Amino acid sequence: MKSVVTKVLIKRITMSLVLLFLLITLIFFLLRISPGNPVQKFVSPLLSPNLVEKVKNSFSLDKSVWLQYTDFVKNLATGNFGISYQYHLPVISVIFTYLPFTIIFSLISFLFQISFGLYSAIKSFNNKGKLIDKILSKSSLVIYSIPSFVIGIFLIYIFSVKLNLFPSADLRSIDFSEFTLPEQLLDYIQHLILPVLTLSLPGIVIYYKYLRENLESINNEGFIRYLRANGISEKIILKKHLLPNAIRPMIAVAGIELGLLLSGALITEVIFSLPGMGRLTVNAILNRDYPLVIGCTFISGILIILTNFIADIVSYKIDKRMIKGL
Amino acid sequence: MKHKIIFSLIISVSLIFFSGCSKKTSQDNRVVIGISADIKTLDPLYTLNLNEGRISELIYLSLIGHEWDNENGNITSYPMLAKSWEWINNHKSIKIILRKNLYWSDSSKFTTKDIVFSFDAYSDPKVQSRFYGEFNNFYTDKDSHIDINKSFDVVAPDTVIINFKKNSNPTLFDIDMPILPEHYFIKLERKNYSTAEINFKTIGTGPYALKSWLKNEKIVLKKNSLSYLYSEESINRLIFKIIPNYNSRLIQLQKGEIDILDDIRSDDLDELKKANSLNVAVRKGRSYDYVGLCNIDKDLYQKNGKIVPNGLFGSFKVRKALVHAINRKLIIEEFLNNAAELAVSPVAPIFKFALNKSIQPYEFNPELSKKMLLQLGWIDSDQNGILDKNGKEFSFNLYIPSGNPRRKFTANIIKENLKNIGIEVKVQPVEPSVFFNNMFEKKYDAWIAGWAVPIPIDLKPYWNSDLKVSVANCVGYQNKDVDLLLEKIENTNDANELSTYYKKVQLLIHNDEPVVFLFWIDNITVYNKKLKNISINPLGSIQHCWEWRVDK
Repeated sequence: MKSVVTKVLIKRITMSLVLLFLLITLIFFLLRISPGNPVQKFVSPLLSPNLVEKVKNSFSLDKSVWLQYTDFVKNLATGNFGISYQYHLPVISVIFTYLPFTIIFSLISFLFQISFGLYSAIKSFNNKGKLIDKILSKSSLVIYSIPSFVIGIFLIYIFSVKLNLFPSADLRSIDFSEFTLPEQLLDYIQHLILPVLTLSLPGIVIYYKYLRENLESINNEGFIRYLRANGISEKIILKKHLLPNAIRPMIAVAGIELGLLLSGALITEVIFSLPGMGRLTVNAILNRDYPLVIGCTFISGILIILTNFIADIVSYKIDKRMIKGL
Repeated sequence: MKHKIIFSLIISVSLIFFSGCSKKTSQDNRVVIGISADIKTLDPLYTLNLNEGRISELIYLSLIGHEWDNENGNITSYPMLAKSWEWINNHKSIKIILRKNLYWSDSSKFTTKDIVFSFDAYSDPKVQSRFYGEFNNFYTDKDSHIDINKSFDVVAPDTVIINFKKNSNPTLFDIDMPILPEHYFIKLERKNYSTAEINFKTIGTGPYALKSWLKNEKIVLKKNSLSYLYSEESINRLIFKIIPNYNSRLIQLQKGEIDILDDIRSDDLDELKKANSLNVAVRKGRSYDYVGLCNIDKDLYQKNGKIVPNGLFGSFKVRKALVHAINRKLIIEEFLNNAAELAVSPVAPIFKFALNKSIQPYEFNPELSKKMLLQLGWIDSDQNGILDKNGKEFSFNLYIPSGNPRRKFTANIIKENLKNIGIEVKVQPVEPSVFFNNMFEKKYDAWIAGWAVPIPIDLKPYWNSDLKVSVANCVGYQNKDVDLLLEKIENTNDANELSTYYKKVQLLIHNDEPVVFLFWIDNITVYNKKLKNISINPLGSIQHCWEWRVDK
């Protein structure tokens, strides 16, 4: 069994690397053929065409696309993604300025989504047909249909403008560096409550809906009826039989969701002025910062592949037969 | 039930805890300035955008400074790092005497070497600075790199003479560049300047120095005690807070989380004026929107560089007919809440010394427009609602940068207005990066964009007929008389002559109407009333902020 797992792991890693390489190659060529010129903003209207050409050449964009690609692959082999046109810094160092926040923010939001989604689905299932079930079911539909920027603005209006409970934006206070450690921690929590809520609410609803329906359909399965007929308590049926079976298909969804969260939460980052990967990536695309776009795509690709891989491993841990799917 | 009570208790306690926690803050002597996007660098070699320039100029000083003279509508110069200057050698050289005891923020002594080095670096093609290619009055090589030996004579430890080309007409603006610390850059290879650490760890002579920079969050400047502009009473810290969302910036301004905010939209003016804690400053702008109408046949020009009038907009009579058909006042009233002024030429009304007040805006008169087009042979021969001439319909694509509500609104008004006189307009929003690239490459027949008139005013790059020199003449405007006047402007320093030439240029351009000049947009700045001694002028709201004071 161990050798099978090793083989599967090697195969999976090799495939992931090939996939990543294909992904950034595709992005490389798509960027080159897409309209727009990364040099335009660096060229003063006062420059003569000869000097404009000189500036353009300094970006190495005068070479043929194929030559640019071979240079790119050579640099990539040494882990060099190049220098960002806008930041004048190595791409990797720009990305690593934004990535830690995105990882922490996404993980917090992910935990919120999973735990509240799970809790509300069980609560709703245990109170089938009662008021709480109806409220959760109806309100989840409403929340699901509201765009997250509306949720964000609504939360800011209520909790920041009207009640003045939380800050309206930012990751930390301006005087953050002057605070003691507990104050700093508290400051982070205060600043992150509204963004985490904005980012998590739609996710909570997805997990709630998914799990609630799974619980219902598994509850109607023959083996559950058999357990009940044998006098097994409802608690044990829920804990040992219903939940594990209902959660299993959710793991793959959670893997994809976490991967997407880690790629950046643009809308939440913009509304709450948070320094995340979403803003970085979109700005890089809008400014045609080719090296940075490729770097961001590469990191997002890695994170999505990694989270899916983790999801598959978790599935395998729950059910060893899942090795075939890996 | 027990769980519910515990849960409710936790929520209530948390809310009380979070809201009740007041941390010690040092809000006394600091000012928070809201900006929409992070800057990329503070190195004056590469500070391309507005905020980069504004912040960097507080850290790196130039030899001379500028102030806005509201009476004459022009800028005046005053000594900065230079204690004084004197034009010599028949105005072909300038003698600069430095202030005594100037120091960099790392305690190194400021010397004339820094000046010579700065001009060398700014003009070096290997460095590709933002000023590269703009040293036309200096002795340069074929790559526009300044010839240092010919151009600079250090005659004393505090005196340097800068020599300009024989046939040039230098002004103080030729030496208006932030001076760089030679002792730092000398250690680096020129091609590595753009990635140097000094982009983020500054060494300057200005009244402020960089304290910290949290990417996409805030940039904090602290007072530089080694600067000659240092004052005990100045604001201790300037904090530039990055808030990408406009509404978030507005909320923070109203809540007192930020103290000063530029680029306020006119429709928010009324509400902000009601706030007791805020002051509203509306100043006339130097940015205008226009409808670009390609004067030349873009396809032929791109194919073989030939300049032939455009099939639709080549005649000034057609362009004038279009101005009469567009209700520009409606856009100002409906969208800009009257915070704009009709434009008649490319000279902003704030440049009082150059403004030709006799020029009146073209009136909105669709009937006159119809008549003018009829006289030019544009008739609706097939009765389909669209004018035609020689079998060609008057129909065109109007390109606008996407995501710009003002230009979208303007485009829709223009579409409706022109439809009323029998012209079909198809509005085409294009992603901004693609839009501006295509505009500069003359790929559009018609578009809506805007220009900000530079300070000091310079019309040549926008209106000179030589399209190889005037990259910003995107419409391909051709007028030999205008060229001649622009040449004269370049070759004189006499205030009266300059005024006369500018007024003549305006009249010529107004008569040709190479683009449809739409409106000059007012700049609205809102700031907290606790800020004192603040002067909002066309050079920017934070200019001279070392003179600000905070009411305690």
